Amino acid sequence: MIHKTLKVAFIACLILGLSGCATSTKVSRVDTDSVQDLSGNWNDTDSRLVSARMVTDMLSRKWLTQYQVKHGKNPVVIVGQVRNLSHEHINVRAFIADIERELINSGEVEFVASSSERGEVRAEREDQAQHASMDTRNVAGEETGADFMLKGQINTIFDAAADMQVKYYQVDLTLISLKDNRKVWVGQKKIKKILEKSRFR
Amino acid sequence: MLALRYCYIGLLLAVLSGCVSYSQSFQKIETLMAQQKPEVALQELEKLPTTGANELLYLLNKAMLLRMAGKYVESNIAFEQAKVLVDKLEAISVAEQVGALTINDNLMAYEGEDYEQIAIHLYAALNYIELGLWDNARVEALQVDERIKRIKEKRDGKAVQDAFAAYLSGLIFEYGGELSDAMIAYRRAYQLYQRNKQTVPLYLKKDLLRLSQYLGLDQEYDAFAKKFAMTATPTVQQMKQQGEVVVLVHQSLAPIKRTEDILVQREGVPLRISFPVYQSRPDYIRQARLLVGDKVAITVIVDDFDKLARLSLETHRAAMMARLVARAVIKRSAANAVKEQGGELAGFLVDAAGMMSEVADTRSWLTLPKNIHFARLALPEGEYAARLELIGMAGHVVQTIDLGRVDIQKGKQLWLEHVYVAPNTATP
Repeated sequence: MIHKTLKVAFIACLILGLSGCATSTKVSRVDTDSVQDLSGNWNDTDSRLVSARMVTDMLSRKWLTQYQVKHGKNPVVIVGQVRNLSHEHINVRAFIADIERELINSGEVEFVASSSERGEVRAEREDQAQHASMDTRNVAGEETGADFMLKGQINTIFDAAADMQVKYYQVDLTLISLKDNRKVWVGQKKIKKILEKSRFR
Repeated sequence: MLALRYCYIGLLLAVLSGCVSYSQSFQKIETLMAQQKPEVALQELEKLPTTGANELLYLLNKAMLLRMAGKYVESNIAFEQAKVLVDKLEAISVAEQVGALTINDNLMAYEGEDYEQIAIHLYAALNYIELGLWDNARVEALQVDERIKRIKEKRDGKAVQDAFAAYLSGLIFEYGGELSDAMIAYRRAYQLYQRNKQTVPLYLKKDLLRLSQYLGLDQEYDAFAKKFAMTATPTVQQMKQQGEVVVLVHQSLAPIKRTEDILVQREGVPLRISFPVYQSRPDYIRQARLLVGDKVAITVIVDDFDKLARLSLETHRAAMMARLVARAVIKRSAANAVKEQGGELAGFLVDAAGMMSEVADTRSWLTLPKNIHFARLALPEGEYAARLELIGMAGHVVQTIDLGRVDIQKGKQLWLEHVYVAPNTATP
């Protein structure tokens, strides 16, 4: 008799245990500044670290005050090509957007639409030339010309042996004067990560 | 005690019911690919198991069918998932190893052969090129090198390398203006074609000559010019003034694995093991002719997955044989132990179960083509009428594909791809 009750109890426990295995996705909201490293690939923390460092560096160098004193206004920058020359598919637009936002909000640097963005703006202007009323239309030929172009590249060096992998990222940004091709500012940020893969799964 | 033995046999037989050959369930998808219906083939693919030991194959086949349907972005999403899975499968699963050592290899999650893992990056790069995202294609080219290093480390120190992956890396570097990196990649491709005993493609020879001349590598240029009996035309400067059309034809399908039973002697005891052997698919297209305007280019074979598969099997044969013999020995000792304890009948049943479960791993990436045909054609800027003629094995044109009017721009390349799995026998 004890044998039978024991069997029933065991089966009941098993069912209870297995029902706990039926999971629904668990969602927990975290602060956007919290560090969550999941796969070891380039993530939002890297993007934030790089853009913060680059902005601080750019605003603290001499080129900015020299320009402001000489011309009496803020420099105008356009974003050129930032090439991903790394081993990973990195979304460079996200961290460029971070840099743009920080710089515009600092009030020291102004940005104009890049070549990929202004196509739509120009199309809208053309449309306004045909359809908008005379006093509200924006005519073509009034765009602000940029003074500097921001270009850059991301490079990586990867090394791996057994279950360890070392990832080294180097982000280089350059500010080039559109008037005379001089490089007025070069920023660099390096990130190094060590990954330990589990031997068993 | 006897009841426990029979329970073990019962469990074994339950496991065996999953031993249906993978390659047989694929027939419908192949037929649909031949009929140029990749969307319907995708629906058929969803009916096969999508998780578990064959998850990687599901993702790879899905990615190939999506790219055949022209959905390059979704195809790359599937390839990225496949890459994550391959990385995850590098770790050893104890449960799977026990299963593989006592029952058969089909219980292990499929990790992909050397050339299949490299082909993931190859096709992802081609996807990015079709989308015009050359920097992303460059990332894939760099990832090929990383993958080869991992394979060499994880496998028995040997890896079969795909020469076309190196050639494609060279093409990507050259397009981005990185000519010395391109030259390194072209050189590596040249060595790999020779090592894998494949014919060096005509277009690679032209690229080697052109770049070695431009980079001032005179000794190397002279050596190539003598060996190939060709000169560098057009030069790098001439190419910069023109645009190019590149065409790839993915022909037929990769070979299927069948099983072959072999009898091996170990310490006087005969053991029966089941070894995979490749069965090739037929060839349908000998070459293709690209006609743009009044210029013609003939394709050559740049990638032969049939050859790579056989080469991979030969390279890893020793390690695989050792593992299969070890498994046969374990099964034989288990049967002997049961015979001593439970009698002749029980021993015979365990032995029979062991023999029935001895099925070779016939899994492979079946939607890979048998080979890839490739051609490049340089033209001055302008708009031209283009068409692609596929020439069958007998020398006649079996299909003409009208590419419409193509717009050639200076310094840009237009990549066109076509998949020809088999003659379309569907009635319209």
